[in-house]
Amino acid sequence: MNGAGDIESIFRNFTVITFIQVGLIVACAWLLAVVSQRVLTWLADRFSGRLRLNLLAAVPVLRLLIIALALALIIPRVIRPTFENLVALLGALGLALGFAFKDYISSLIAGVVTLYEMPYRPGDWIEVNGAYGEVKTINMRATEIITPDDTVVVIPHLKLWDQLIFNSNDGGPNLLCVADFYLHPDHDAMLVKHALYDVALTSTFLQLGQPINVIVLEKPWGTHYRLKAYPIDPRQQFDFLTDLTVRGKAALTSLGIEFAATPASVQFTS
Amino acid sequence: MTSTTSIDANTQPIWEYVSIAGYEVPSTPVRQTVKQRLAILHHILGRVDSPAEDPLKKTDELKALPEQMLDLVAPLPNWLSAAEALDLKLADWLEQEKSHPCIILLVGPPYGGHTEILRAWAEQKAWPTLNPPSPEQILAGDDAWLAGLGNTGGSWVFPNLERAYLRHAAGLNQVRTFLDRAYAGDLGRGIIGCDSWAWAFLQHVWHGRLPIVWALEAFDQTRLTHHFQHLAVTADGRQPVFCQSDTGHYVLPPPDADQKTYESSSFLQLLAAHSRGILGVAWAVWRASLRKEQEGKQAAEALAENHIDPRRTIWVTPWDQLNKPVVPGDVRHDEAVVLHTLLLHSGLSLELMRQLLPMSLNRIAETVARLQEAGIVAQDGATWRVAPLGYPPARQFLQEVGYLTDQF
Repeated sequence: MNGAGDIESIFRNFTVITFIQVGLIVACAWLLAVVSQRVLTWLADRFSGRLRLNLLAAVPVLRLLIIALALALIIPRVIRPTFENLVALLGALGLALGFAFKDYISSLIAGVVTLYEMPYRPGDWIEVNGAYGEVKTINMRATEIITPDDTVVVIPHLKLWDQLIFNSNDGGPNLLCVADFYLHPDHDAMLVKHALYDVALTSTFLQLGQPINVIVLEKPWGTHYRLKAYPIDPRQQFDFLTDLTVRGKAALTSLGIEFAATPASVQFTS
Repeated sequence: MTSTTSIDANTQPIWEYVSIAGYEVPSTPVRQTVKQRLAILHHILGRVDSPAEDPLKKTDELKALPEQMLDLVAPLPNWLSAAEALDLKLADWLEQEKSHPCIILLVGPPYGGHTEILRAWAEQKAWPTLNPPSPEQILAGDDAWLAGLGNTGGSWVFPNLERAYLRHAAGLNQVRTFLDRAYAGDLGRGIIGCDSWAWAFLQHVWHGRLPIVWALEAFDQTRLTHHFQHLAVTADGRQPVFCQSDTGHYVLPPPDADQKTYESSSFLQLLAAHSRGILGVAWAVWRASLRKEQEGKQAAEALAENHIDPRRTIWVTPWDQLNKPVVPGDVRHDEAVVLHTLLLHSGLSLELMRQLLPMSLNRIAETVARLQEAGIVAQDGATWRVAPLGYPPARQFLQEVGYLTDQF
């Protein structure tokens, strides 16, 4: 076998024109991807609810289409696009890159799977490996989330293969919030349940079309109330929880309800 | 935006009560919807629409009508007529010896006149009117108001249910008890009036089902035409002529009986859709659109061509040139919350807003001031309300950001 001859038969003769064409395609694809990302993000910021989430979700899909189109334009300019040539080139590339950049390639593939399976989309609130935040961008290799403390966490798509991914709103505007109240066991539970229900119902952050639930759990140290409701916008979840907690405490205090005094040895689990 | 219309005797009543499910909001003409979408696109692209060329009346040739003249050509809606329509609708129910159901609910959007109509009806029929509890009574859970409800002699009217609750953890129990008692017939037979926003919220608070819920039918183009034309009169007692200032087309049909066909403007169709058929809102926009000629600026020839008598003519600003308030583009959560709370309670004082909202008094005052500057809210004594001109954009804004809205 003549290896040099094989490679020559795969690749076309490179000319300056070919280089310029490939360079222009790469530049245009990059420009298009950047512009589409900025425009869609800018538009999404002007809307709310499902339209905002759909616009954000379109960003990575559009980028993938642009990259696929760019590759489709570049490959015939670089190699002779016969079946044998493609198999030989991709096989060699796969072998080389597979060893050298195993994790990187795995992340890229997981990135494509992410776009297909959509375990999370921009605008979703997810938790991966203890990091919780809003998905800002889905790049080729990793996803960026912003935590409530305004910290960017970069999560490689690789995590998709073997980690649990918790998605709080799954592409929609409904994100359940839970406010906890720990009370002394000696009280009228029905009164407290109604009071907490009204606390949620009168919150200005509440999404009124969604259900409100009050879960009561008896514990060795007292009674645990879980007030569950949905905010209008997932981004308001912390303001909503604060509002529920502040007004819930005020309502319970006005009813003369005593809060639980927990022994130091007791460990809480929510 | 124009069509040729004939004057026909229209048998459709101006005031009509319908079941709430049968209420139909006037629709926006497709052409206007397309124009609005294009205007949004132009706004995003930073382009400014140029005004139409060569209008019949230029803006600087016209001036706003003085208040006294406005009161003549566009007087306040006559709610007494609506009370008569309500009486007609209630006739069967009133005739029953033991009315079933024992309560009837009339729901109306802001500026739809439900309180005024019910008060007028109660006065005509000499039915006692229940006063709402004070905000202090509501928040303190004072039962004195509820205890006093049984002394009405069996028939009563409560024209403003929206004043019987506050969106506060302690502000819902009284309205629940009131509706429970009224529904069970403990209070005798009664008619309750409620603002549509408050009713949308109260349906999440009280889960009973009222069998009869009526609403005043929306004022579509035909109703607005009849209403405005019926009430308008000039200082010398004649009927004025309303023409669109850029084209000269008639906005209301000309009063001359011999003029059977005429070029009509679609202004009132757009007004009906914009105001969602709410008479009070349409009335406010109508008044804001009326202009009269600057002295000595009458272009007699142009008017003669259009068969227009300049002495009786009121000029109506073209719809696209009308200065309509818009919710500021950089609004935040604060603005949405304040607007929603004002609508749910049909207006509130700053102090009450402080008790209901998770915001400081300063922040509320700043937000209200921003909204006032944009023309969305207005002050009425100590009470802040969404202004009639600001209601359509406020409603649209709240709907877009996902807040609960009324069904009108």
